[in-house]
Formats: sequence, structure tokens, C-alpha cells
Amino acid sequence: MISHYTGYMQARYTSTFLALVLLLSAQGGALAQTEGPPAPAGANAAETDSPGRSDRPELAQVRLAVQAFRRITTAAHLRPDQHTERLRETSSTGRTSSWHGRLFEYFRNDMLDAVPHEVVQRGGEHNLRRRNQFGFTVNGPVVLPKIYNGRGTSFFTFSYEGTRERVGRSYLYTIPTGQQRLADFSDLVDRAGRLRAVYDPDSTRRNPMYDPSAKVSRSNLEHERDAFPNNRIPSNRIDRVAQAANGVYPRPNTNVGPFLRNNYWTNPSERNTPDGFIARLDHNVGDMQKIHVTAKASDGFSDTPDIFPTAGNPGRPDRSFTNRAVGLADTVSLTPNLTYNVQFGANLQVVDTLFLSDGRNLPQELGLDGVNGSVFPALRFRGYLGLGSSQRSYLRNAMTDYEFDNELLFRNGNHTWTLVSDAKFLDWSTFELDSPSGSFSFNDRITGLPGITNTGDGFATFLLGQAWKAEATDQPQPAYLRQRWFENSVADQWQVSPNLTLSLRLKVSASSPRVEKHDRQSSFDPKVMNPGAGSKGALVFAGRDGKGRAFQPFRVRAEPRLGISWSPTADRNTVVRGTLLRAYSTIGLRTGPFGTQGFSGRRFPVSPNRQLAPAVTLEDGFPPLPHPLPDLRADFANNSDVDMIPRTGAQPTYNYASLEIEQKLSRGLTLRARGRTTRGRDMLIGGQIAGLNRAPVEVLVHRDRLNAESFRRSLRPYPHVQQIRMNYQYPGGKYRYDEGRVNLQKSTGDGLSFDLEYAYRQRWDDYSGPGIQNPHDRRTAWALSRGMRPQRFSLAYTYELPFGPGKPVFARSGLWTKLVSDWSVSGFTTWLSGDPIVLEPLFNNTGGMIPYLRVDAVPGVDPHLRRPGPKAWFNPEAFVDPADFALGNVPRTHPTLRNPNYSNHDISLSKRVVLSQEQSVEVLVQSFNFVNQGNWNDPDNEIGPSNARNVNAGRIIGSRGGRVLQLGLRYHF
Amino acid sequence: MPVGVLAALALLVSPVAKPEVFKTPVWHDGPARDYHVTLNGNPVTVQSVQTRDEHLILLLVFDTVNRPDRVAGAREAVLAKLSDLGPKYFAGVLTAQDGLVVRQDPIRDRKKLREKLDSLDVRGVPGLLDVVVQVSRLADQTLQAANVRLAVLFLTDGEIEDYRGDYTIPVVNPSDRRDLSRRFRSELILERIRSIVDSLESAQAPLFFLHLARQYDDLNEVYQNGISEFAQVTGGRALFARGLQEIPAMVVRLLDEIAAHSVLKLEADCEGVRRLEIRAEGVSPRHKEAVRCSQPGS
Repeated sequence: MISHYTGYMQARYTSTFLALVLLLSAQGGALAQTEGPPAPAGANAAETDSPGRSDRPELAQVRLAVQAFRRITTAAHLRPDQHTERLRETSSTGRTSSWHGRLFEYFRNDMLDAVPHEVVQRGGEHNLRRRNQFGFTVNGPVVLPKIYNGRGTSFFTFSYEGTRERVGRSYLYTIPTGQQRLADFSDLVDRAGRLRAVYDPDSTRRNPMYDPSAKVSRSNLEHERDAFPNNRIPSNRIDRVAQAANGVYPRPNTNVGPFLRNNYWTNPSERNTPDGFIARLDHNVGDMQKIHVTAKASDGFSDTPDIFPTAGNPGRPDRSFTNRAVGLADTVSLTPNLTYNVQFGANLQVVDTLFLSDGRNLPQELGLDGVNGSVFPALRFRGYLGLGSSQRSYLRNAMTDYEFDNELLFRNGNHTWTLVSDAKFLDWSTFELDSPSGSFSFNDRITGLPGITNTGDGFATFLLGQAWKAEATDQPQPAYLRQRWFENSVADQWQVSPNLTLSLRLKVSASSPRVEKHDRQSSFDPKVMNPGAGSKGALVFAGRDGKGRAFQPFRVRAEPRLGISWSPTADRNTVVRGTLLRAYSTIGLRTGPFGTQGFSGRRFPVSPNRQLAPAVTLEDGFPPLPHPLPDLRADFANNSDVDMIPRTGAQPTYNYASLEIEQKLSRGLTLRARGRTTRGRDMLIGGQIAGLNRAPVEVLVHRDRLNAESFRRSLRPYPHVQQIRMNYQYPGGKYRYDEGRVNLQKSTGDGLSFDLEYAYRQRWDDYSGPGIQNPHDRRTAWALSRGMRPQRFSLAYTYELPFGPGKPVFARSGLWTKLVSDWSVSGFTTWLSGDPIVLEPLFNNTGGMIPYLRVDAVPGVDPHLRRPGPKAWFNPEAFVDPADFALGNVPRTHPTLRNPNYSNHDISLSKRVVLSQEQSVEVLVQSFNFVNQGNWNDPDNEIGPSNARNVNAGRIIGSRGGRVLQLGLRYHF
Repeated sequence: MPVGVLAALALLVSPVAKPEVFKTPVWHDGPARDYHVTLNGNPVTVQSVQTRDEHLILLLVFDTVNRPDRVAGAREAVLAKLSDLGPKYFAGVLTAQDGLVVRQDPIRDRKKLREKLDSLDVRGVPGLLDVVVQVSRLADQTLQAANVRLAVLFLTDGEIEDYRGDYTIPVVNPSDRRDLSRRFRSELILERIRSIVDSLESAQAPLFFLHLARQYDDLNEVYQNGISEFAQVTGGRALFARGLQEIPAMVVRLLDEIAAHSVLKLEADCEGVRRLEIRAEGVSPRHKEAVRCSQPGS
């Protein structure tokens, strides 16, 4: 106030003095010239600084003002020739202090929160939440006393942020009952609540009465089996390893149902402790060049929640994160119309996962032989939460990217040209062990009646130790993957006429194929003879036998783009924009040992008949690799899944068109309507969907013979391998996306601004989700995309409360006014309609030929309910499991049934307290989901056959979400 | 706490009004006797009026870092319109990138002005948020120094991400998955805008803004709303060009508005923020809605 007032008074006195001087000068007929010599006589006054006779008295006032302008700007060191003074006195922000920034603390505590719906519904009264997030940011000129004065030339920004957090997580699962853990399955019921028998695999025998010309049924069994008496497995039959593993299961603690399902609820906590900083340095080299350096570092440790408080915890392993990045950018302005930017950046991201086993060798403790890891093995039973983590237990990915960008920008008449040349080098080292201690899957077939669904039990099969599928990974060393990307483009912004602008761009980009630093790559080649099998299809190795270092071609593509911006009306309140483009996406690197078989290994024993015999018995241990690694035989992957790096030059391609109309309305409102459409082809899909080694669906006519691996393999294109894995890098999917969007925006006026938007979109594809029913006819998979929520409504708003001086309410100054002024409210509201329901059969009796089976529609039954609710979201009677060895006829995602809608409302209330001209404090009260909305979970989507329906199909168990409150304090200086 | 004590406290912290002379823009043409001006309902004396026929100093502040095509379009439009407006219009040139610098004192020599504008670079780090208060005070002090009309026109193409300050709150810890502090990412920009608006409430010269490249993302919407507030609080106007073709018409519209304003010189007992009402010939012409007679935080 004082400085302003002093300045103001100085200006007044000075102006009075100058006015007197100028008045005297003007009377003498000589005006002080502010700019050089007077213009020649006769020149247009508008084009020169010479005054006309008529405006001389007024001009004196102008000259007075110009003199004052010059004096004030000189005193403030704003003249171009005052560079040195400016360096001494101005800060990076032009404000009076040198350094500015803020300190902050955000605080969350469960005392302030609503108990989440999912916790309340399970009888919980508390969900742990302790969180402190703190840090600071400071920026200003670089000044090292007596060493370096960087005012006006060198500026820094440094931000630090840390978080200390413990938060509760809620899980509801089904685990074996206490009785079942004692091998007593007398309480085992199917989804319809009927007793489900468990059979003794050791009693399996061929049925002499079997009629191969008729379907397998209870009256025409191919193999007979005896049920365990009273559905109890004798204790002497329990596998030794399974018995030991069984001991780490917790007891059921709830009974949500139906029947004995959803019987384990837990609310453990996880801990998260990241710390990091971002440092930036800008340096001006003269007026023409700027150098910009950035460094980032962040370290975090996520102590994930234990779903089981035992060694058999199936939750995610703990994970540590390390992120490092440095960047260097240099911008040179050659002329006002010619600018050159060059940037170099290097980013390093390291993610470590470590499942802590406290120094114990858990497989050894269980008596499991033949595996290398020390973590608990992954044991999976259909219908139950298994034991051991399903996530990668040992993982270390260090991803380093180097980027070099050049940009030249210049103007020529109505054209503005941009030339861009970028290069990106990716150097990744990846070490991932999926299942170091082995992964074992137990189905209900081995303890079921062969050929008859709804018999047997996965956990009972586990107790017998008979895994139908098992896998163990061996990766002695990381894979060092390399890839190079290049991009060159020329773009022109062309103003064709005053109301029409065209933007044209042609981008030519290229990407090199993936290589491994030590050529430790391999890929399945369908054309190479496999010596072990005597047929085509074998592993080939990079850099060996005449093969190059890479398996993919060097890909080059041209990407044109045309944009138009047109103002059709004279008032220019309407703008029409359109875009047409074709684009491609690079098939980039992925972490993991994919494509390194022979240098890494996946032991993959296969069951000879998944109904009759296991692939592995736990007591017997995991069979070893036949040869030590590296094992570079062409038949290394025989009888197991094989990795194939697709050799095709195709790559994901997008054709895009959009049209937008923007109309300015009165009162600061803008209305926008936009339509856009995209067609994508050659989208990246995985091996399950590509189905290169899948037999045609017509083989289902062989029915129960398909359960025999020897027969099944004879039907595959490459009988000697199982699946051909693609790591989601096979360009074969298609999609279509259409969207209409209306948006109403209000810019600030009366303290209120908002952005209201409604969008309706539809996306169809033939690949979303883990797999499709018939890979050989992907047209039948064309359906609404999984997870696509077609309608979206959103509202974002900010309202500065109209209280305080100059505002309509409490306008008078005073203490009360200080309390009520400078409050503002911001918020977001989002509503999303439900995504398509994916219906799944309860049983899949296709001999393993159709892993992703769909359901059948029941003719004449409407799947929709008049008033859907949690007790019945859709009508399950409209669907049924397909018959044995038959395909389902309902689309992959249902065309009209939707999962529940989702909505969320967040609000922030802030009060700003001004401490001084450059210091203020903000108090923040932020509430997320402030209406404490519970969003329904998705309904049970498993249907069941007509004789054993899932009674829970179409029902919703519970909702999720709860209000979270965060308090914040920010001090700005 | 008794009501009496509260009232006494309120009196203690209430600012005391004192006579102050200040200027304010109004979009009406007429002599001083036409105007009836009040501050919070209390009549104010109109000392003098500079009408639209009188000389005007225009301070052009370039804050241009991204779009040379649009800057060129704006530059040509400004020069053309100034030539149309005639010799009573003086223009000075300043740049805002990396701190405020005067590139040209106000002149009416159009040829020299063109040379100066042609020499300006489109580069660097935007500085609008950093210099707008400084420019406003420079304009006010210049306006107070003589009986002229004066307005400021910012020409900017900066985006909030381009600033050196971390208004966009970049993520420091990518592994912090439950970070909700960035849910309301615009709050830092809003805080800065409120701080600037507080300072601009005492502005006397109107500030006009032409953003040459309107952006539609959330953060830039907040930034652009802030620019609108700067204009609104000083009695000026902000426009946002959605395409190159809109720029010439927008320049013309803003310069027409600038040319049409009069300046009232007022004297009033005033302290703190007051609601300003101006009526002329029975109607309320466009004017700024509130004035602050002292600096915030004092």
C-alpha cells in the first residue's frame, strides 16, 4: 500500500512539474520531441510523429504521459538497454521478491470419512486410512552469492513431494469351508444348491457298455468312476504337499452366499511411502538461445495388503518403484520468423517387485520339489480363491528411453511451416519370473464323472495333488531389448482466405524391429522343419543359422492429415472445424521374457487327458527341463506353449474423421457439438484371439474324444506345440468407434464458470477381452466393445462465492467480511452408463477346444426386466449354457443388457487468506464422492445349464465406494 | 463472545475512508455533467472527462511464444486498424516473455511501429501472469500523469503448460496411486488468478486481451477464464481466437472498443473495495463494476 501510494504521489507531483515545463515550452512554440527528429513537412500525421496544428494542446498531454511512461519504465529498469540492471533486480516472475513457491500438506484420516459401502455391508465399522502428503515448490533466479548471479538469465524450479500412507482394502472371496479343508465335501453344493458329488480318480475304468455312436451321458458313460463314500476323501489319499499347503488357508469368516459362497471377507491395509523431486533449470544464452534442463527422481515402496495373513497370501507382492529422468532442451530463435528447437531427453524407470518370503524356502517347507523359487507356489482351484500370488513374484524392469527431437518453424506469406525430425531409442532390460515356484491349476474334471459337467470339485482335486495344468518359469538372465523409432514430418498452416484456414501435414515414421543386445531372441517359425516332430514349425534363434538379429521387418508408414477451420458467418461467432487423418501406431517393446525361449524356459507339462489324468502330481514334484539353459534346439518348445514374434509388416492403422461446430452464445456461453468416427484395423491382439494353432470349431463333432491330448493335438495345425503366444503383438483386430458430443461452457462471469458435457459413443470390435469363441471366423466376434460405457455426462464447475468487498453480499469491509470473503467452490460430477454385460456359461464341456465359450439365448424369453435391481438385474432365464460340444449363440457382449451405471461427485471448498501482497494461505476441504454414493457391483454373469442353473445369475452382491475427505493447507510465498 | 465486542473488533479492523482521486473507463460520450457516479451508493464528484475524441495511448504487450502465424495475423490487423483510427492514437510496444521490457515508447509513427513489431520474436516462456499487474500499474501511473486516455492490449498465445511456474502440478511420484491432491489441479492457477485480480481491482486503465490460440483443455480453460477476469475487473475485455481467420476481426473489435471509451476522473472518500455505479442520461453505460482504493494485503 505504502509503496503504491508513494509511487502514485511521486507520479502526481512529477506530472504536475512536467506539465508546467511543457506548457512553457509549448508557449515558446517548441515541443519536446519524444522520438528523434521531426518528420518532413507535408507527411501524413498518422504516419509520423509530427503533430498537426489542431491537436497541439492535447498533444502536450500525450507528450506528458509519454515522458512519464519513459521515466517510470526507466526507474523500473524495463528499458531494452537496462539489461544489466534488470539482471540485478528482477526475478523470474517479474515480482519483487526473488524466490517464490509454496509449502503444502494434504491430510486424510478415516475419522473424517464415511465407512465404505463394501465394508458396511460386511458388518465392518471402520476402514483404515492414514495419509499425509507434503512437500514444497520453490522457483526463482539462480543466485550463488559471490559466485554466480543468474538473475534474468538462469532460473530454477525445485519441487519435493512425499507421502506416508496406510489404507485399508476390502475383499470378498470364496474359500473352501472348514469341512472341505478336512476333505469332507458333504457340504459341497452346485450353484443351484444341490449336492455335488466328488469322484475318486483312482477308480476310473472304461465302461464296457459304452456306445460310441451315442452322446456321453450319465446313462452312456465312456469312463466310469466311483464317488467317494459320503463325499469324503480318505485322509490317506491326501497329497502330502497339498496337505501342507492346505494348512495356510484361513477359515471362512462370513456367509454372504449364495449357499457357501462368498464366505471370506478381509479388510487388510497397505502401506505406501513414495518420495520424489523434480528439478528444472532454464538458462538464457543471450537473446537468441534458451537451454532447459530437467531432472526427476522418485522412489516408492508399496507394501501391499495381505489377503491371507499367512505364507499362502494370494495378494500382490510388495513392489518398489524407481523413476529417474533427465531432459535437455535447446531452443534457438534464428529470426523472428524462424525458430529452431532441439531437445534431448533420457528417462529411466525401474520397477521392482519382490515377494518377501522372510528368507524361507516355502516350496521346500511344503515338500514341493523341482522348482527354483523360494516363494509360495501359485495354487489355483476353479471356484475358489487360491493360494500363492498369481502376480509376478520376481520382477525387475529397467526401461530407459532416449529421445532426440528437432523442430524448425518458419513463416512464409500465408503459410507457416513446421518441420519435425525426431528419434527415440528404447533400451529396456527386463527380468520377470511368472511362476518361479510353479503354478498349478486344479480342475473339477479329475474328481468329476468323466464327460459329465457339474460334478467334482477343484479343491478336492487339489487335495489329491493332481494338477491338470502346471507351469514353471526359468529366466537365468534379463533380456536386454532394443528398438529405434524415427519420425519426420512437414506441416503447413495455410490461411487460404480471411475466414478459412487449412492445416496440412504429412508424417513419415519408421520403427526398427525389436532386437536383443546379446541376440538372445527366438521365435516360432511356421516354415522351418521341426526335427523333433518331423513337421514344419520350429523355434529359430536370432543371429544363428543365417537368421538376422530381428524377426520383424523395418516398418515405414506415411501418415497424412488434413484440417480445416472455417468461419461461415460474418460475425465470426461460428467456427466449423474438420479433420481427416490416417495414423499408425508402433508395435513397441513389452516387458517380460517373451520371445527368448531357449535362453529362458517355461516348463509346461501337459495332461494326457484333462478328465482322467493330471499333468503333474504335487508329491512327485515338477519335472526338470530336459536340457540346461541355454537350450537352442529347434524343438525346445515342443509340447508346450511357444512364443511367436509376428513377422508381418502390418501394424495398427486408424482412419479418423471429425467435424465440430462451435457457436458463441451470449453471457459468456459457448456451445460445441462434435461428431467423430474412427476405423481401426490390424489392432494388436494376443495368441488366444489370433488362434494360429487352434483347430477349426467343426472338430467339436468329435465330442468326448477331444479330451484326449493325443487326439486333440492331431487336429491342431502344429500338433507338436500347444498355444502360439503372441504377447498381444499380432496385428489382426478391427474396431469402429463413433461418437457424438455436446458441450456447453460458461467462462467466468459473476464468479461462475462451468463445463457441461454429454457424450454418446459406441465402439464395436472383434477382439476386446481375453479371448473369443471362434478365432477362425472373427466376424462372429464383432460386438460392442467390452468395458465401453456408451453415455457420459460430466459437469465441472468453479464458483467464487459472492461475499466480500466489491461483491453483492457482505460488501462492506470489516472482520466479518474477511471471514466470508475469498471462498470458492469447485467440483466435478460424472455419470457413466453401464458397459455391455458379458454372459458366460457356468460349464464349458468342449474338450478344451473352445476356451472362451458364449451362452445360448432361450427363444422367446425377454432378457430385460421392467425394474432391474440388485436382486435381479437381468432375466437369467433368457439364457442357458450351450449344449456339450456346441458353440453359444449370444453375442460376445450383449447388445442391449448393461451393467449398472456409475456416478461420482467430488467437491472442493477453498478459503484464501491474504497475508501480504505476495503471501497467502489456502485452506482446502476436499470431499471425494461427497454424496457417499455407492455404485453397484456388476451382476453375476455365469448362467448354467437348464438342469443346474446358477441361482445367483443376474444378481448383484453389494456396492462399493464411500465419501473420502481431504484437508489441505497451502502457503504461497 | 458478546456482540458489542465483535462490533468493536469489526470497527478496529475496518479501513478508514479518505479522499482519493482516481480515473475509470466508461463507454459513453458526454460532458462531466452527464454522469451520476456512486461508490457503494455514495455520490462521487466527477472532476473531468476525456472523451472518445481525445488522444489515446495504447500499450501493446506481446506475450507470444508459440504461434508465429497467428502473431503475424494479429500484428497486421493491429497496424491496419491503427492506421484507420488516425493520428490521435499513439502506440507503445512491450514484451512480456521472461520479464517485462519496453520495446517502443508510445508513438504514432506507423512506419516505425511496423518496424518494431516486425522485429519481435515469437519465443521464450510466457509472462502474462507475471507481468499483468506490473503493466497495469505502469499504465495507471502513466494515465495519472496527464489528461489522456490510455488502454492496454495484451496479445498472447501462451498456454499454462508453457509457464516456468508449476501451475500444472506435474506428478512427482508416479507410484502414488491414491494421490487426490491433483484432482482439482486448477486450484493453483485459480489462486494465482485471485491474487492478480485482487491487485487489479485498483487498476484505472482498462486491460484488453486477445488470446491468439484458444485452448480447450481443463487447465487452459481456467487460465483463459482468469484472463477474462483480468479484463472484467479492469473494465476491459478478453477475446479468444479459435482460428487464424478470427484474429483480424477480433483485433478490430477490441480496438474499436478501446477507441470508444471515455475516462472519468473521480474524487471520493474511498478505502477498500467499493461497488461503482455510473449512470449517464438515465442509463447505465458499460463501466467497471468495482474499484479498490487501496492495495490488497495492506
